[in-house]
Amino acid sequence: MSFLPDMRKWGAAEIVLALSILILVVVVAVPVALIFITAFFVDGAFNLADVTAILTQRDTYEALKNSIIIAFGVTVISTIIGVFFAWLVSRTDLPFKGTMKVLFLLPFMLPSFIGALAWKMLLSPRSGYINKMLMGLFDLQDPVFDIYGYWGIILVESMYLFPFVFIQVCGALERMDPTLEESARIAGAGLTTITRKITIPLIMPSILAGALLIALYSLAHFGVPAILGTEAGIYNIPTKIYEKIHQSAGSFKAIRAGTVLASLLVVSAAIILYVQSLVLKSGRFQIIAGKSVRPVALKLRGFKIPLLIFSAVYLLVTVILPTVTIFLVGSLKTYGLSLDWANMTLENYEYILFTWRLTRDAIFNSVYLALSAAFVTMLAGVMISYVIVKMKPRGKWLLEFLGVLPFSLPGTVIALGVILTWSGRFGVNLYNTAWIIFVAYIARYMAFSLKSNSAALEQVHDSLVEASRACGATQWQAMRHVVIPLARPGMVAAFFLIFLPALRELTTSVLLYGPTTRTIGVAIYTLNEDGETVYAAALASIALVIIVLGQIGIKKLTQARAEGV
Amino acid sequence: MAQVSLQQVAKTYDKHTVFSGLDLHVRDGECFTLLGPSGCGKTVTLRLIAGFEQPTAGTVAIGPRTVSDPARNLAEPPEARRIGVVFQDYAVWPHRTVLENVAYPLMIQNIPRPELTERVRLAIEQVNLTGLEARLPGQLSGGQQQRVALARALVSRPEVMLLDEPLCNLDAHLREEMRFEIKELQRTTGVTILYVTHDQEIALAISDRLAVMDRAGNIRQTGTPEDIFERPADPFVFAFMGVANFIPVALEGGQAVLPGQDRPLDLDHGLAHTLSTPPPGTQFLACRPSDLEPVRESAQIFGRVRRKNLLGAEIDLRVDLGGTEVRVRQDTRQALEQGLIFEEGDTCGLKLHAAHWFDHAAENGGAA
Ligand SMILES: Nc1ncnc2c1ncn2[C@@H]1O[C@H](COP(=O)(O)OP(=O)(O)O)[C@@H](O)[C@H]1O
Ligand SMILES: [Mg+2]
Repeated sequence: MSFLPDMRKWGAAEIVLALSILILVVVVAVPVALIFITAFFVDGAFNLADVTAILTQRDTYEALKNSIIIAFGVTVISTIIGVFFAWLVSRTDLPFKGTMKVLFLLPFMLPSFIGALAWKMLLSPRSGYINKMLMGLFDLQDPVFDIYGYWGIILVESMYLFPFVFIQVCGALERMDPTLEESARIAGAGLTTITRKITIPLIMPSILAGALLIALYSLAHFGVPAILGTEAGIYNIPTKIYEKIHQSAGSFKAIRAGTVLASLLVVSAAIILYVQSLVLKSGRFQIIAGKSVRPVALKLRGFKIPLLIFSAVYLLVTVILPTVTIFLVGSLKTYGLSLDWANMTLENYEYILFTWRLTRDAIFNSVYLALSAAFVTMLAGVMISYVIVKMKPRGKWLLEFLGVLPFSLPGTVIALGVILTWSGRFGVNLYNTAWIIFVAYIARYMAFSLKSNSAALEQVHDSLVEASRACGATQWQAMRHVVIPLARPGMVAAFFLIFLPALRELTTSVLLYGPTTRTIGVAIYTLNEDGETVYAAALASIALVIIVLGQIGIKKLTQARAEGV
Repeated sequence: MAQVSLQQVAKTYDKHTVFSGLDLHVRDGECFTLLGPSGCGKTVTLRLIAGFEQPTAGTVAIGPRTVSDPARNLAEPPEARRIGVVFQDYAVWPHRTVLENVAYPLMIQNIPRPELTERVRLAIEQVNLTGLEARLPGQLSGGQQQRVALARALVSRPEVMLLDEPLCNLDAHLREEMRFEIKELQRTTGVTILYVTHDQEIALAISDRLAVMDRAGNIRQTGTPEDIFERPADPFVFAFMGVANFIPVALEGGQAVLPGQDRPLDLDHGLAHTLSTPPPGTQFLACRPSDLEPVRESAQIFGRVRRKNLLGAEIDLRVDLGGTEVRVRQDTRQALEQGLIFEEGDTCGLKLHAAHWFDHAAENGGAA
């Protein structure tokens, strides 16, 4: 029941409810609705002919095809990598398992577009450092590697996305009841049979759930294809939308074509999430939770050291090498010089941090936008979750529906929707201001906030609040003394779940930035496009430093909290 | 101190009616138990008194004050009702230590520091938690958390305490100990206690008076534990208070004939002299398994042993009376001493010690 006794028609409860609905409608529902309306209606009439025309145009059709090819490749490869390493750190006697498990999460910290930038510097056919080195070493005429193309995109994305599967599968392997495997062993099954008949089916739902998450992410991913695909004429849906809108300087025709493609993204995302929820539901009954009993680890014997070396090399190549490259290139006097000590300078950093307006603005914008979006989205999320979880009002289904909607909205789609909503159509024109990115971030990260806050509020049983009322506390005191303290961990989590990704955001802001409202992501991307590779790398290094500091900050904060309580 | 009274209270959720005209009067300073099967509306009753729910109709009064009266749009909020509540799930705040949990009601009332400290110490002592003040609830056992909840409800010296099945999650030993402590607390503080439970043993042990509620939310009987146990108002109450036999009877010239017997039940002999002659309209004889004693001589009833279970100190017999199975409890030691061990298939004589006449059987046919 509600905490709020039945009150007059417009009591606090109704106001909070109305406000929650209003926020979700304005921030989420209207932009999405406008995308579909713009895509399927012309002059107020349903128009499918135009949609078909747009979809059968060669470049849009190609973009769709490429999105699917890339998403498929990335999903397959990162699933293989993720499952393999998850198995290695949870089910074998690999040395330093615990440390390795933490290290395999590092790729998450490296934004994939910065990774793509690094790999471009190493493997681009003309100027990639590795290519140049190999050509010099073996006196070759042609470059060995060409990062521009499907394989480059797929491999680079996989490098940074596999932790999605890794985390899911590690979790499943750890939660799995070891007696299931043991009873099979007692029944005389060999290890391969157990793996094939027991282990794999049990962790299959987790594998699929992680894989679908990757498919969803890759399908709508902008950064890597933008940096590694455009050069080779390969566009996926987000990069195509960006190209169309940019080339035509935001003409309605381009936006309309964009909305048709965006509708495709929304529909595929919805299907993927639906399938994922089915998969997770079927998995819930199979993995028996609880028990901290560790299953018997497989003895790697002779493979122990080679596999450890393999894992270390994998991390070196995918994480350390690109990071070092970014820092080194960022220190070069001019791009193309050899990575010699003599060619290094710190002036680049000084220039972009203190002198150059463009980069200074970008850093300021990103930090400011990430902080404020995280704060506002967290607060709105607490309020909406409170309404959904605790007040359970009539019309709650509408909130729940609007609340899950953002889960299925790729960044590109949100950007388009926000353009359609906030470019003067309703009397407010935020185009080319930082506000439009701010609203977009709220829409984009609302899902995180709702998830984290509802989970926390579910834990606050009604009786805890009622106990406080029975002790003489007013409704507001009960809120302050019981609900907020208990919901605070969820709020803190929501804040950081939004702040960190918002800090490095590219997909959404690249469609929304104006002359003075570049974010760090946009600045790195545009500098790279303009051939300012060294400055792009220097700014990327600074971004990496901020991200790492942010992560350490969270770690410190959550540890202090864990000890404090 | 205060009495609690509910008059003609109705409570309806959407279409589901929990009760339609509930009357309940708890006297000042007594320990009153509301006993009923789960789902009958006990928790709803407490929530109505505490003010977490409002009645659809009727009035709720605590002491001289009417606190809920929908007809007059009166609904005093929970914090104004000066009650202590112990919730079914404890509802101890996980982010506050034992001390902070117990001190909370006094902090809300802005009690000055020295008095607060003293009263909190006393409350913690009363529930035997001294020494655990700095612990968080997560570091306590279920029974200890229960006691924190009890101390928290006590510390503000409420006029009325509402306890919702506070012992049902505890193990048998702890339950007994806590039951004793609650009773003791009530004696020393004189607080009015309304205790709800589905466990008739606790209800009988703890209450000054109790009320038995049925599944439909009707109160079937109110009275002292002796009243309820010895003089049940109807078959439901009788069945709810323990394992019950309902034996169909036929009336012949004002005398009762039990199934499978060739003559009417002889009430003048044996120990059933407390039993009156069956009133007109009697359909059933109801008795407890321990009211039937297996004997060799001067038996009033004869049957055939269907099953025998040795349970340790007691023997559980299922005896067939012309197609009706009755349960009989026999003291093992006595049975051995007197050579009264029956085997399955044996014919067995029974002596009736106490019984009730009813015109219908209990709707649920047995104990809760
Ligand atoms: N908030 C509610 N909404 C709808 N039905 C309720 C609500 N609270 C209780 N009920 C119903 O009222 C009946 C009595 O519940 P309750 O008082 O909790 O039983 P118990 O006697 O076990 O404590 C149950 O049938 C329950 O389903
Ligand atoms: Mg209950």
